[in-house]
Amino acid sequence: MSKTQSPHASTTDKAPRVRFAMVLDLSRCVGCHSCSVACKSENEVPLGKFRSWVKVIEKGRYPDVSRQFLPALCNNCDNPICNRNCPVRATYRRPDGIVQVNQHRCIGCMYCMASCPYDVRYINPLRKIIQKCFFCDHRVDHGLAPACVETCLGRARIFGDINDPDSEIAQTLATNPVTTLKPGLGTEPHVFYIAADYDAMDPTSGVDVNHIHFEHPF
Amino acid sequence: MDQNFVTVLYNSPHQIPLGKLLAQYFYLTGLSAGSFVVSVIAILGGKTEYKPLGKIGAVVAPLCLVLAPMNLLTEMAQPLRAWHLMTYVPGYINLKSPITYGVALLTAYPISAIIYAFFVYTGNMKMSKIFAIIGIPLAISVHGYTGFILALGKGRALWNTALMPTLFIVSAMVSGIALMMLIAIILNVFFSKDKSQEAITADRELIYGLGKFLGGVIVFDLFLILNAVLVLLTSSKEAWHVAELLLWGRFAVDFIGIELILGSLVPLFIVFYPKTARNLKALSFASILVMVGIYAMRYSVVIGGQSVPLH
Amino acid sequence: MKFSRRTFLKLGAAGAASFGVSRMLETAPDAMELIMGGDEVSRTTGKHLKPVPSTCLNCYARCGNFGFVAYGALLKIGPNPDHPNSRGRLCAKGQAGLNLVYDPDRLLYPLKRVGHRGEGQWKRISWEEAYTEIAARLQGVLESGHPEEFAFQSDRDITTQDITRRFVHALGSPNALVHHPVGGPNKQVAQQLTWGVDYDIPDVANTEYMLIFGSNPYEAHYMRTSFVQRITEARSLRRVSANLLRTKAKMVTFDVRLTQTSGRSDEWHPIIPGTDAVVALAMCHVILEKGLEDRAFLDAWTNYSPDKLKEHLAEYTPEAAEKISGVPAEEIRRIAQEFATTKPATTISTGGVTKHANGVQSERCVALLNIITGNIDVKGGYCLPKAYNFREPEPVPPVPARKSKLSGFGNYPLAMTELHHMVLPMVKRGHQRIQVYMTYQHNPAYSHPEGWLIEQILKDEDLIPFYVAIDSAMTESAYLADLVLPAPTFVERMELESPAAFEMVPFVSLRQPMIPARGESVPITAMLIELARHLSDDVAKYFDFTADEYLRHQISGIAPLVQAGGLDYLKEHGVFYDKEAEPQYEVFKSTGFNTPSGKIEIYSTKLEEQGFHPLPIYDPISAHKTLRPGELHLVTHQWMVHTHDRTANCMWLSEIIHENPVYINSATAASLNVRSRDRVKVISKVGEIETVAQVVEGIHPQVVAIGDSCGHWQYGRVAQANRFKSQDPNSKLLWWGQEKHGWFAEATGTGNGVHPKPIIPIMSDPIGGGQCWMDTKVRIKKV
Ligand SMILES: Nc1nc2c(c(=O)[nH]1)N[C@H]1C(S)=C(S)[C@@H](COP(=O)(O)OP(=O)(O)OC[C@H]3O[C@@H](n4cnc5c(=O)[nH]c(N)nc54)[C@H](O)[C@@H]3O)O[C@H]1N2
Ligand SMILES: Nc1nc2c(c(=O)[nH]1)N[C@H]1C(S)=C(S)[C@@H](COP(=O)(O)OP(=O)(O)OC[C@H]3O[C@@H](n4cnc5c(=O)[nH]c(N)nc54)[C@H](O)[C@@H]3O)O[C@H]1N2
Ligand code: SF4
Ligand code: SF4
Ligand code: SF4
Ligand code: SF4
Ligand code: SF4
Ligand SMILES: [Mo]
Repeated sequence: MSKTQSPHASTTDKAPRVRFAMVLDLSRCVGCHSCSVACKSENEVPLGKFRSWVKVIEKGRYPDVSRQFLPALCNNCDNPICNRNCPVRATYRRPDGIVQVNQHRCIGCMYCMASCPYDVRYINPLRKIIQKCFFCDHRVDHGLAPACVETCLGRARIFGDINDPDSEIAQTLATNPVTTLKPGLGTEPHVFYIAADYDAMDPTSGVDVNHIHFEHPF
Repeated sequence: MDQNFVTVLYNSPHQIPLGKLLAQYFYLTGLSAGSFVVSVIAILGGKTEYKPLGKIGAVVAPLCLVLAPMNLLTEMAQPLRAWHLMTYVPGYINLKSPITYGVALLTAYPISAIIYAFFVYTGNMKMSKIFAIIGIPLAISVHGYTGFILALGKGRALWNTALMPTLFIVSAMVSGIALMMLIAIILNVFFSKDKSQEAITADRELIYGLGKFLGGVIVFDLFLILNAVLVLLTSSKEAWHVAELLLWGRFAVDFIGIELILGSLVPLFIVFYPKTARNLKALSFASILVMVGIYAMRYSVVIGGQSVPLH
Repeated sequence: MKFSRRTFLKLGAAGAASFGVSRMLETAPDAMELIMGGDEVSRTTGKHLKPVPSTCLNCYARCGNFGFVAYGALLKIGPNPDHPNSRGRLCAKGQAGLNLVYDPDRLLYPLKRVGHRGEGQWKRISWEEAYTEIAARLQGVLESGHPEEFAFQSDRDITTQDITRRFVHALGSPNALVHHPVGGPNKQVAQQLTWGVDYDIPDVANTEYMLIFGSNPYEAHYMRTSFVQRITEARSLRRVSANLLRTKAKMVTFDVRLTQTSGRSDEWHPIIPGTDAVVALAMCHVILEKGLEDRAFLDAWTNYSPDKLKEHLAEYTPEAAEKISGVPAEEIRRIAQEFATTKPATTISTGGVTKHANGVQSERCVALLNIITGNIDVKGGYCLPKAYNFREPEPVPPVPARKSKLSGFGNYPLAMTELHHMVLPMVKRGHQRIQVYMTYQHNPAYSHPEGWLIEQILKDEDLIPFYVAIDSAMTESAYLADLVLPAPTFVERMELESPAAFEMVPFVSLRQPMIPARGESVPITAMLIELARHLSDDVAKYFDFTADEYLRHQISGIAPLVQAGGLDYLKEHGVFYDKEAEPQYEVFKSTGFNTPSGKIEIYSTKLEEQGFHPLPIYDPISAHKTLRPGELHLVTHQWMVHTHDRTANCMWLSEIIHENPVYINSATAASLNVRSRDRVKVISKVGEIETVAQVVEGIHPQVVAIGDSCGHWQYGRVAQANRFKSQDPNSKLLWWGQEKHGWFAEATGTGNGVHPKPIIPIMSDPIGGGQCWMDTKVRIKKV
């Protein structure tokens, strides 16, 4: 996977280490929100917050109209701004690429939230700490696929080790055109999209920025 | 097909992590840094007639800086864990985060400012000069770092600019000078009974001079803002939306109305128009306007900067 | 058995294999290296949780699931990878079954009404008191000599249907109103008349062409999770490895609005509601005209000659169809040609075709497309359902001789099931007197058309002297009952299912308790056995078994299952299918079709006997003819995260969909001066409702649409979008309610929306009797 060879990633190891990533194949996504709900259930995500959600847009003019979906979650970036900015190193990157938060260390300053260009972090209003998608590391560590991947109706979510050339994800990445969200920011996201729609990826498309409703963090 | 005809049917809620209290925190550190710098200029400037200003600034600067972090603590979700910021242990300390430096500065700067104030008031000119020299970079950094906090918040077009730290320092100067001027006017009008007429006139000249100085810094500030806005208008799509918000959208009242017109242009007029430039009422009005304007600036930068959705 | 899915390749050793998953799954797209389903670890302790295999019932697709429990609490519901239909996936609703179990407003104890009906005052009573009271009432019915004055309406899982029918018949009443018709009974009737079974399975995983009429499987389908995963499989653009590129099966959709399905199809054709039949017939016309039909199949397996059919279809030219449906003639021609020349191909049609006054005929017209192209029961085609039948333990109570209009089909002699939405209105019209009315998992006041009328009837103690509602939530109907009995949710019950199999090998799956039934809730099987024992020996003799024994009886006729260990096998594995069996295609070649002629009846003598047109025809809907300027068609639809009225209390689902805006085309909206988020009134001849407008491009300009499932006025606080304090800290985080915080604050959310039933008139297809959910005429007024 040359594309994801980040200048920031540790390149000192000789043997390629495990690097978990996710592919979202939107030609298979049906916009069912099963991923979002599976994630809520798996991770006890409180009401009002989402680790994963599915944006749905309609585009075009009658009768040439289509619907596009964009499931979004933490990109578990190779160059995570959230990590760089966390003053207490509560958030850190595991060797396998999963960006984690030390729940006991987090001071809840929300700087990581403000810095993340994808708005995927939230303060858990019940526990008052930062949370986000951790690629279900508790499951992955036990050899189980993440909850959203397991249940995805369209099998649009592919998860695995991109450094294992035999893995489904490595092969999928090798043979399909993929993109990431906001690649220009240099965050090196590790959630890759196949057949994602430009307008769905654009946060301001179809949005009047003057009339948008914002949620207080907690 | 009209490519851009899009209706969003479902999305998760957008969040604004940093709120008004953070804007207030930035505001107070700015006031502090600004007044400290003015004070130091007065002390180092050598002229004895500037000394009163030096004294005012020496008190105001640490005072604002004690208030500022209160805002931060209230905003934090886990204020009781604030001490985590000071566990300076390798592996725990993050040298890449501007907040790490901020914490160090927020500790060092008030200490040096208090020591400085002590020497200013005890009349130890030598020591106050030494601590003025130590304090200046600290004061500038304390506010500059808040600019870095935003500048390194890479996701937000309004923040992620190299101008941000400079803009913050300059606007801090603006608000600091305005505050000093206001206090000087108040002292001059209400607390100068036991002063000679001469001394009072000298103070007034000082205030008028300060007004000109304020005007100069405002002009520089406006120049920086112009730079920022022009770049926003021509940079990324998100940046354009921020410009939209600031120039004719949701934050236009704060930005154009309060910050630019009331907070910059009107005071500018007052300090340079001969009739008002030497009128204490007008000048105090101008300084209040400036301070309100800078508050509006902090608000529109912090909140406005987060008001373009990221997903 | 071997299912060679077109191009699926197993990459590496699938983690699932280590779980002893059968060969069936080797070809399923479970290539990922991590274990997919069937296991769960605790997030806090890292320990594996105890898995209990079961079957979902948050809708009627009945997917295979697992409950994961620790210390007696259900922590998660996950998918069962070994289930041949759902193959390790659960939709949002299935996942949110957890909310249903731990809903803070669940019914946990028997309640007896103390105030007047509908006042909402209850007294907790014991089960013994409840049984005694119901038994006394039923005894009264029996002594009156009118057993038919006892009616029982219930849900449609097989065990429930069987045992309630048994109970009602044992009492001598024919009014076991247990067949809750799927998608309105029209589809069932049409299918039964045409090819002798009441169901179809489009074999989408293996198809090359999907022609969809009025169906939205990405969001709702009676086989949702099993169905949609196979559609995406056929539609994947992804290269799975360097040498494998899946070709994409084409999907063409006719729908009146842009849905998740039509919005992702290769082609969306907006169509005037109720006119799918004429388009389908025009396509048949084109196919026959061009000689693209499968003559051999038509000659051998249908009862009508292609030439005569051609004659019959002569009038249905694409041009004529264009005038009626608004679909351009050349499009009809092109699609007809594509459909006939792409093999295999299949149609998919559900509510959009059948929830109309011409539902039966329209469904027959769509089916004709599959018939004339010979796509019947072939791989990748339009297939017959494969499922097991269950047995009843002896002695079986005789079918009561007494007739009742409720269960007789009255004016709808061809209907196969009772007309559920007509039961209470018939009582009101005096077609049947009622002494005791019982419902189980059924909420007519919310889910039936003209809901306000149903409420009125239920409130009327003269019409319904004694009403017992059995449910797990205080539904709008239960609220009007005299006795409310708590039933466990599907997570805590034991039932058998055998839904139609997508792998074309029948299977049985078991729903079993993941945790003990909460509170004092009692499963319907045990409840009826107990109730029978409180009645006379005459009744009790039909219930001489335990609930467990009853289930063992039900599957006793399935030899391979009995051999494998019967119910015990199911308790361990959750699902059973014959692992040696080959997928069954073209079964009619050995068995023929279950119709009078043994063939597909393009010409239906049964229809003819009842005075209907025996051939598939387009029968215009009366609503169309009388549509005046300013009037619009209202269609309703299911939401992707809800099932009718049973999911509104699932907070994770209502969080996603809780408001029911009326979707309206931008041109129409402009002419009405309506913009998005404006409040509007939607007015029909039976009532009006108020909601917000959502202006979109993706809807036919003559159509407006409102979803099902929102706008509860009972049922629980989540369903009503009220924030509250409870054991579950989430209940105070509910954010979409309309409460205000502080006098100056704006309302925090949009509330729980409206439900469209009050404005949908009771109206049936004259052949099938199914409710016309999609035929309402409305006007829109800005408020
Ligand atoms: N998510 C979810 N899934 C469900 C259910 C649920 O409640 N929620 N319920 C289950 C049950 S019981 C049933 S019966 C099925 C229902 O499944 P369906 O009957 O397939 O679903 P509906 O949404 O009622 O209608 C399907 C589509 O028909 C369109 N339509 C309406 N009128 C016309 C027309 O005249 N022509 C055409 N071409 N299209 C038209 C509507 O816009 C809608 O998109 O779903 C089952 N699965
Ligand atoms: N507007 C509009 N309305 C429609 C339709 C439409 O297309 N448009 N479609 C119609 C169709 S096709 C159908 S099939 C009907 C369905 O209408 P219903 O059969 O009334 O709806 P269900 O959602 O199946 O829920 C029935 C009852 O089951 C209860 N229940 C759910 N789960 C459990 C459980 O685990 N245990 C127990 N004891 N009770 C439970 C719920 O509380 C609910 O009262 O709706 C119809 N309504
Ligand atoms: S997506 Fe945001 S939160 Fe996640 S790793 Fe990247 S920068 Fe951090
Ligand atoms: S909120 Fe927590 S994780 Fe985020 S930057 Fe602050 S301390 Fe770090
Ligand atoms: S990987 Fe896990 S935490 Fe991340 S979105 Fe999926 S379910 Fe949620
Ligand atoms: S579960 Fe899969 S198919 Fe459904 S919305 Fe999520 S990514 Fe798309
Ligand atoms: S489709 Fe969803 S709700 Fe229906 S049975 Fe399957 S998992 Fe349950
Ligand atoms: Mo249905």
